[in-house]
Amino acid sequence: MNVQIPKPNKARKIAGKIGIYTAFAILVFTILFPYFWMVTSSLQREIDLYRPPPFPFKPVKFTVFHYGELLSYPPFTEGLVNSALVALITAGFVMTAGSLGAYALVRTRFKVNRVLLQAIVIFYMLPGVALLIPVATVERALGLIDTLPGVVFAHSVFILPLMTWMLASIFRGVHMDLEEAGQVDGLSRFGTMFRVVLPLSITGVMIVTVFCFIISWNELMYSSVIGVRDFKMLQPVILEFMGPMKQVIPRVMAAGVFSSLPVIALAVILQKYIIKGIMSGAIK
Amino acid sequence: MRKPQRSKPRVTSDQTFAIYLLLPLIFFTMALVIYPLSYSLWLSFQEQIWIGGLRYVFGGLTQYAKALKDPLFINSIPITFRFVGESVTLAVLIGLGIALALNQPLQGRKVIRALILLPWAISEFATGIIWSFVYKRDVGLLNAMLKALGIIESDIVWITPKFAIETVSIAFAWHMAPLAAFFFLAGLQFIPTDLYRQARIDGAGVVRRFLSVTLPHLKYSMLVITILITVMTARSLDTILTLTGGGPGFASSTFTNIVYVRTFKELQFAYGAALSWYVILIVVILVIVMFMLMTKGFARGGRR
Repeated sequence: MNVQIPKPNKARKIAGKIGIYTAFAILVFTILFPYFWMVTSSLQREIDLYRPPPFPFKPVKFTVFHYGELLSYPPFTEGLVNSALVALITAGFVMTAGSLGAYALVRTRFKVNRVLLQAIVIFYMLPGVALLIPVATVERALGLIDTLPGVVFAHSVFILPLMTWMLASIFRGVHMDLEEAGQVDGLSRFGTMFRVVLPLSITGVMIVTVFCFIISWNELMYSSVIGVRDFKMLQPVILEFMGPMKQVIPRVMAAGVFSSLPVIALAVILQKYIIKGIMSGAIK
Repeated sequence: MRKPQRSKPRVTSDQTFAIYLLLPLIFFTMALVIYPLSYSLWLSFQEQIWIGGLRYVFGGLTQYAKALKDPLFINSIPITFRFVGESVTLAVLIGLGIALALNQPLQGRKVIRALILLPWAISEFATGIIWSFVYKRDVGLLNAMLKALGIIESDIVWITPKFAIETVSIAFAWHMAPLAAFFFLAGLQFIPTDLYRQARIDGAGVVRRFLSVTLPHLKYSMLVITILITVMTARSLDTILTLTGGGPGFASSTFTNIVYVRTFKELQFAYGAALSWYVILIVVILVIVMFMLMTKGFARGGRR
């Protein structure tokens, strides 16, 4: 893949490689260690965790007790299912509306486009707390509280603007020449969008889709206000475990691990698309 | 409402096309975005009266005037700037580092690429929880590691009034760096490999190649990701709530924390709305300034 034409100095090359690997190892370690720590402490007995010295520096017994406990707790499993549904539907909805909108904003020349894009960004700057009450009011009036569409809409309120903006920046990266070539070859505007722009920016689009899913999946505030009683979402249930009286750290950590599982699955899918993106770049 | 005054024949098809595409977005925006926004703006000009249930009467700018005399809110502004400045810088730099490393043909990078997203995969409040255990004095990870390495002898209290916000910044940068990394990684894919080959022929070293090929091509990603993370950091709340609770005292309360306290702890809805509009104003100004500085910097840094 990496063909060098003039051969660089061999010793320097090796030194460079070692440097890269070391830096790489340090980065990976720093980034992953807290996560690794979360996983391992979720596998501890609670008493073991509190006795100094802290966990990684002492012999421990591993147990999956806290995982079993979570899976036999109905609100938790319910939350898992509900959150997965909400995140999937939100991602689907946001990507459809967002990519159409973003493409229109980037590729058509209206004076309002620039203003619209800026308005979108400004909207996203609102702290989530500020919109919570109005959104809840609207949803109550429409009878959407405690329903799946209710939570999906509440999430879309802040995810859609952000994703539209991100998609716009991705579509802008596609060279205009390629699109014009598509049009010369007789494709319609929709044709160029689906056959030229989307395939060329598939990496970015997939990443944005996954981000959509993750943001919705991890969202706490709107989930807890809109899905108050009858529509339990995962993150509020996890937060309940954090209450001052019943805080069992391994349980919280196990819940954290659970909530990161779908994201790991998605990261693997994402990985495939990144490689595809590289390949198509290489072929071109 | 939106009719561009142009007479080119292409415009008509462009226009209908755009309206088709924008319809879902516009519809949705109207239903669930514009209304909440106007509601919150309206609310910020009211005064609330609790006699016989919650009622609002028009109060003009009273809430806005009150905010300027609110010591907690005024105090939270420099704290927010510290938080945003530190964690954005850290996240962008670490993210760039990860992206460059993962773009190298290294062994096992596929696995690492998938794993590296993990910190972002954890929700903001879970980030706060994990890091609160990193910083804990007696059973915390950080003190234990430093003791094991022989760097410190007795436990250090990390979350102090003076540096509480720094501890949050680090946690938040950890959470955000993978996002930055993925943006940079996507940006790196758009750099034609020929350019590197040419630079090599011209005898450019690693650093030179980075400065004159990689960096100029990443300028758009850099702009997008910096602004994105700035906004995400400025509006974040969950991490601070679970990590320090805004304390000790109010030492790590950013303005969103104060909005949260005033609105939901003290139930001052109208005042909270006014505070949020100040927050928006500050963030908008911040982003515009950043945008101008960065585009200027890029222009000086030479063309691609």
